[in-house]
This record gives sequence, structure tokens and C-alpha cells, in this order.
Amino acid sequence: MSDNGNKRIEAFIVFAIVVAVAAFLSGWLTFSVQFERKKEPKVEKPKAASLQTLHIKEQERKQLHDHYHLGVEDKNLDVWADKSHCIVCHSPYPHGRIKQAQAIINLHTEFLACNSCHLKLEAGEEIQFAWLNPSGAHPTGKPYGIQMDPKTGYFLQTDNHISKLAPQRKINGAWQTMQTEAGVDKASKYMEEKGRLTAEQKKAVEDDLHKGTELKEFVKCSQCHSMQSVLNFQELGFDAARTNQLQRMEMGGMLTNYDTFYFPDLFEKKFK
Amino acid sequence: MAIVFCFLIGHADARDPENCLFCHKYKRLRAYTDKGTLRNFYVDDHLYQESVHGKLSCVECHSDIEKVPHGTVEKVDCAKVCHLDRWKAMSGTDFSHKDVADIFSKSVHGKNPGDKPEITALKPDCKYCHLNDLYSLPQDVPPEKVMKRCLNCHKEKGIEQIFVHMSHRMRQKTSRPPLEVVELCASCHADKDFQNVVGMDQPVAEAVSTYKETIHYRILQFGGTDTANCISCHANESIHNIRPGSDPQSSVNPDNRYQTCQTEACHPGASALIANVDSHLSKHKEKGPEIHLAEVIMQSVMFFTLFLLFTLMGMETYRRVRNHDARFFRWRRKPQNLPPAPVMPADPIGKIPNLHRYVNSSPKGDFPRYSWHIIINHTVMAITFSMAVITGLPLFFHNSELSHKFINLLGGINVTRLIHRINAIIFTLNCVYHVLVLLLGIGRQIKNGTFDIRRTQFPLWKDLKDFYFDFRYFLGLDKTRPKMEKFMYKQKLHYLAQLWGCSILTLSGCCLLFPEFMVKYIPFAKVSFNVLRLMHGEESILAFLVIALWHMYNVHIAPGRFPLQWTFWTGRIAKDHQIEEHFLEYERQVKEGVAECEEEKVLKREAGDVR
Repeated sequence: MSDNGNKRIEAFIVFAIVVAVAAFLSGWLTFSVQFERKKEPKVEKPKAASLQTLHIKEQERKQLHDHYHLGVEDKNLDVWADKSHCIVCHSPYPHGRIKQAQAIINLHTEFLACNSCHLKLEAGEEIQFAWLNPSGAHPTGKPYGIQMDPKTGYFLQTDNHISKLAPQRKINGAWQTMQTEAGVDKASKYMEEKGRLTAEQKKAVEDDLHKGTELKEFVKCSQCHSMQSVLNFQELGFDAARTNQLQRMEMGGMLTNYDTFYFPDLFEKKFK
Repeated sequence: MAIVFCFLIGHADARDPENCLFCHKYKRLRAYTDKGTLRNFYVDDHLYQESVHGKLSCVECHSDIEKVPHGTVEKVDCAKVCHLDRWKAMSGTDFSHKDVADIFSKSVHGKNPGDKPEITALKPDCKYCHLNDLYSLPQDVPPEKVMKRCLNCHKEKGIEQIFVHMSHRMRQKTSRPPLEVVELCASCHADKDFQNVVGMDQPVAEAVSTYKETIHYRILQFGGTDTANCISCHANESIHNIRPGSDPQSSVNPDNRYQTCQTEACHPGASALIANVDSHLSKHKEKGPEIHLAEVIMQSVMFFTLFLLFTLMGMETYRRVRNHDARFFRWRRKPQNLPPAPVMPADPIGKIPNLHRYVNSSPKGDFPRYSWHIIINHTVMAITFSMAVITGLPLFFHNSELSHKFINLLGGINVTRLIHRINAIIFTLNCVYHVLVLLLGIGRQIKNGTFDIRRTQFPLWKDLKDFYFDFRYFLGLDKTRPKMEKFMYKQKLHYLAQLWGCSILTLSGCCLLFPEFMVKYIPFAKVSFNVLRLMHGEESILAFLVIALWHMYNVHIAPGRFPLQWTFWTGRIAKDHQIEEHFLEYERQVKEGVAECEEEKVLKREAGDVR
């Protein structure tokens, strides 16, 4: 074939490629522009490693219009969701066996790490408590709920909604805080695969994750909320007013303002 | 024992006499119901005290609680006469929300006995919208000034809270930020499941998505507030009295719509024709056939324009590179040697094929091309167009995070809108200036007898032929480019597109900026106004793409033109460029004695005559 003929073939091949590229680019620009601008803005999804947390966040979103008392986001859960293998499986609202007390027991999960109550102690073993932050979090303010605002009588505002009280064990002569971060990956994997595991396999994983903990029937309120509390409120940074409230269980107004003072089994029988 | 206990522990807070916050101040006071729903019992003490109900104790609404810890509590009925008995601020009578609850119950959101159970379950109650708002003191009406007048009749105790609460409602339809109102309404109305249960028809079902395409919503999205949200139109005097558009009492009923638009805060003074402006422009074939058609046309125009331009750019690049027409960098261009040097003919003009390859030329320009009027026009156009793109494009891509960052960088949506509008005025004035320059220039040429339509941007049959033969050259079928006029087919295409674009952008921009005026005077407003509003964004995108791709390619990126031509500044064109793409203009200038004959110079140089 002549040189001229080759050049023409080359030109037509180039033309075919140019037409194809032009058609693709034109179509992409024309239609992607429309799709792109109609995309809804990205909604920040809660940072959560566990299905439990996602479920809670979804319920919170749906219940936004059911809640009249100006609820605020749970910053504590946002931070702890993937820093505690307990929360990964049990959520921060795990206490449901005593129907009437479940909300009251659940409220403690904002301030207490699970091990505070569920750590299995050796006979005669002594523990103490300290504030614990999840890895990567470095709050600067004092923990929420340990100081009272004398002007309002409510908790003093702070930016630290993260710190929780956790038990410390004496290991080789030094106090060491008990953490539950190490098992997060294992717990997350377990929650994803749970449906496919046999009963034996589930038990094996659960036994492993629950190692060193125990399911408490009852924890007496007075173990913490009394003058003989296992928590040294003063050393932990609680101010005098808050210490007073916690040690005496803030009961003042409740006794004086109801004609019929009523406590269910929660306080009257099981915890006495 | 109880007395001892009280003594030891102290008393409950006076603002919370029942000490409910003993438990309810904890965020995690939550539990699952038997159905697996997580219930939240937390009360934010700080926020609650600042809320409109902050002065009420819990049992004044939750009146069925008589013991603690309490069991399941009944739902609060906002309509009952339940509180303020200790204030009796309203001339000694108790206060109730009953009246407003009655209005609400008759509205589209009220529960009707005839409703199916699944629809009743979906209808909102008071607190779906009212989240116990925080107080917001009116800035423009000092409460103490008005309060004095209230005290003529009412008792001082408690009146302040009521005044602030009520006056806030009078200033604004709601205390919620406008964007939150939209999201609140959208939480049901954009929900597919909700739409299916209620049985919404197409236009109503797409009400949220069509609203989100409007400039009203976009402004809200960027933090603006002086624009319409859902309740601006759908709720008249009473926010609780939202009715379906078919109801004669509805604020959006076709007979009432213009009055709704005319309100002082929106479009005061607008004629009844403003009711033709559709705030829910549907692109659906049935509801908005003209909008659907306009959209299809705009997209087709965009596709085929871009396709043509990309094809031309691709083939021109290929041919210019393949034929060694020029070095890529303009300043590295050198004239090529003429193979083999012919004998000089008697009339050499046009006798050397591809003469542009062999001539010496100055990148800053050799031949006059544009007057200083055109240079000013171009400069102002370049600046104002860029500014329009910078300030307008984020509004087009209103859902992009980048757009929001950019608008913030510009100083917020209000500053951006102001810049866009001032810029638009300068842009329009520049267009007027250009038209004047053209008309006066043509008038002078006609008067002098020098007017030649071939030297204008007016499209002629020859331009189509030039396009055909130029494309043959790009395909390698012809050895030379056609001899073209002062303005070749590409420039005419570009100029006509610009003429169309500027007209549409100016007209549609006026529709957005002066809707009250435009809707009155624009012909066939019912269709044309809505179509023009749609076209402002669509046309802008097309114009931006054509400028960013086509114009940039031809004057900056094409091989031999890179990095730029100085014509925009000097008004002069380089010899090689003039000869290559505007040979007939070169020929005309040589004959008129304005330019030298380049063929002669090239032949002399090839013959060794370097004089």
C-alpha cells in the first residue's frame, strides 16, 4: 500500500478513536453533571464498630421527634463504641433483667466502665478506681458529673464527656487499669459471624471474651453510694457537693414531696 | 426516720420540687421496651430551664405521676388546661393550647375519624415539630418596652415568659431555622414508605425533591435565611393551619397563591401573574412537560455541542502534530524551509501551499485585528464571566461539600450573592457596550461604503463549506486548509453561542433577581418564566464547559498556540496565524497595502536574497 494510503488509514483510525473519546467525554460531562448536583449531601455516619451502636444511633435518629426534652447526642458512646468489646456486643444499655430498674442501672454506663462492676475478683483481692480514657482520646476538662454548679445546682458544664471510672488491679506491685479495648476486633468479628456459628463455637468465643468477668446478680447501691463507698470520691476529683449527693444518694426532695413514698423491690428487698 | 433522712440529705431544688432530675438528669437513663425500642428518659437540665416550658415542673404536664420511681407514664395532652395555675397571668384565667390544637386538628395534618389506622399513626402530634424551643429574645422589639403596655391589663407575674414566647411566634412563623423546617417536613414527605402508605400522587411525592432544586432551597443550604422554606408558602397566618392545595382555604390554592407570594417578606407588589411561578418545577413528563422538554433540549444541546467540539479539538491536534504545522510552544516556532523553492510567479499571492509554515512572525502580533473597544469588551467579559462562574457554580452544585467550603471562603452566601449580582450588572453593561460598538461600527462602515458582510461574524454558506474542507484537511484528505475569512467558522460558532448564552443568562438572571417585574412583562410567563429559571444553571454550565475546554484549547493549548496569543491584549494577530486560518483577510490586507506580500519574502529568502 502506498504511503498516502497508509496515512489515510491512520487518519481514519485516529478519527474513530477521537469520536469514541468525544462521545464518552460529552456523555459523561452532560449526564454526570446532572447526577453530581442532585446527589444528597453526605451525612456523617456515627463512628461505630458495632452493630449494636449503629442500631442505637438509628433509633435515636428515628426518635428525634419523640423526645421533648432537648436530648443531646451521646458523645460518650461515639468515643467508646469501638473502644470496649463489651459495648460492641451488649450496647451501653445492657441491663434489662430487672424491668423496673433497667434504666437506672443503665445510666451508670456513662460514668463506669463495665469492669467496675463485672470484674471477677480473687478472694481477698483489693482494687481501687481511677479515671480511664479510651486510647486516642485526651480530654482536658474534668469529667462530666463530678462537679456541681453552685449557681444553678446542676452539673458544671465541661467538655469531657468521655472519661469513665474503671477498676485498677495491683499487678507486680503496681496499680494497673483494667481495659477492654484488646478484644474489640474479636467482638466485632463475632457479632458479624454470630449467625453462622454453632452453639459450641459461640460459647467458645463468649467464654474467651468474658474471661476475667462475672455476671453479678446484684451490686449493692451502698457499695458506692454510702459513706463506706469503695470509691474515694474526693481523690477521684468529685467536689464536696457532688460527693455529698452521691454518698447520700440525693434522696432529699423525694422524701419530702410525695405523700406516698414508694420504692419497689429495687431498693426495698434485694439491695438491702 | 424520714425526717432524719431529709435532714441528712438536704432538699430538692426549688425549680424541680419533685426532684425528678434525681434520675432524669443522666443521659443514659434509657431502657428497651418489650418491643425492643430504646426509650430515652433523659432531660437536659440546662436546656430545659431555658426552654419555653422551663418554669413548669415536670408533674404539671406529666400529671398522672404520683409516686416514684414511677411506671409507664401517659402521653401528655397539650390541649388540656394543665398549667399556669400558679401564675394565672392571662387575666386570671388558665392557659391552654386547646384553640391552636383545634385549628391543627382541622388541617391536613390533623387526625380525622375517617382516616385509616396506618395513616392516623403517621400523622404528627404537637411535639413532632415543637421540641420545646429555647427562648429567643426579640432583637428588634425590646421586651420591656412592649411589656409596659401588657401590664395595663395583665399581671406581672409570669407575663414575661408568655410575652417572649408569644412575641417570638409573631415575628417568625417558627423558631426553627428554615433549613431545619425543610428537613422536618422532608422527614415524612420525602420518605418513600410514608408516601406509599398515604398514597401520594406524583407531584406531591416529588415536592421535596423539586423544592430542593429551587434557588430558595439552595440559599438555605448555604446558610441564608431570607428565602422561602416550606411553611413560608404552605402555612398562612397560622402555622397549624396547613391545608391541601385543593382546599379553598389553603395558602397554595391556585386562587390564593399570588397573595401568599405577595407577602411583605417575599415578593411585595408582585402581580397576580406571580402565581404562575412554580416553586416545585417538575421535570416529570406529565406535570411539567415544558420543563421536561427544556431539560431534554438543553441536555441534547450540551451533548452534541461538546461532542462536536471534542471531535474538532482531537482531529485538529492530530493533524497539526502530524503535519508539523508548528512547534507546540509558540515561542519556539521557526519558519520551515520551503521544499523545493519554485520560481517566483508574476502574482505570487496564494501560490505557496501552507504558506503559514514558512513565514516569520512575531508572537505579539503582526497584523491589526481588533479595536481597543473589543479588547476592553474581552477583558471585562473574561473577568465577569470568571466571577460569575466562581460565585454561581457552587450554587449549581449545591450538594457538594466543596461548594460549601468555597462559599464560606467567599464570606458566606449573602456576600456571594451580592458579588454575583454586581458582577451580573457589569457583565450585562459590557454586553450592551459591545452591541453599541458593533452597531456604530457597522453604521460607520455603511456610511463610508466599506461594509463587507464577509468580514463580520454573520454566518454565511461559505462557513459550512469551510468546515467541510477543514475537516477533510484534518482527516488528511486535503493537503491544505481552506482559505477562510477574518472570522472563520469556529469563531462564528463560538460567537453565536456566546450571543445566545449571554442573552439567556441575562434574561434568566433577571427572572431570578426581579421575579416581580419579569413575570409581569415576559411573554407566555407561565411557561417561559419557569423554563428560563431552569436554563440559568444549565446554560451556565454549558457556557463554562465551552469556555473551559474549547476557548482554552483554541487560544492556549492547541499546538503552536501554547501558552497564549497576545491578540487579546495587543489587538494584533501573528502572521502565521492570520495566513493559516484567515487567508482571505491576509490577501485583502496585502491588496489594500496594509500588509506585505509574504510569498515574495519567503521566495526571496529561499533564493538567498536576505535583503
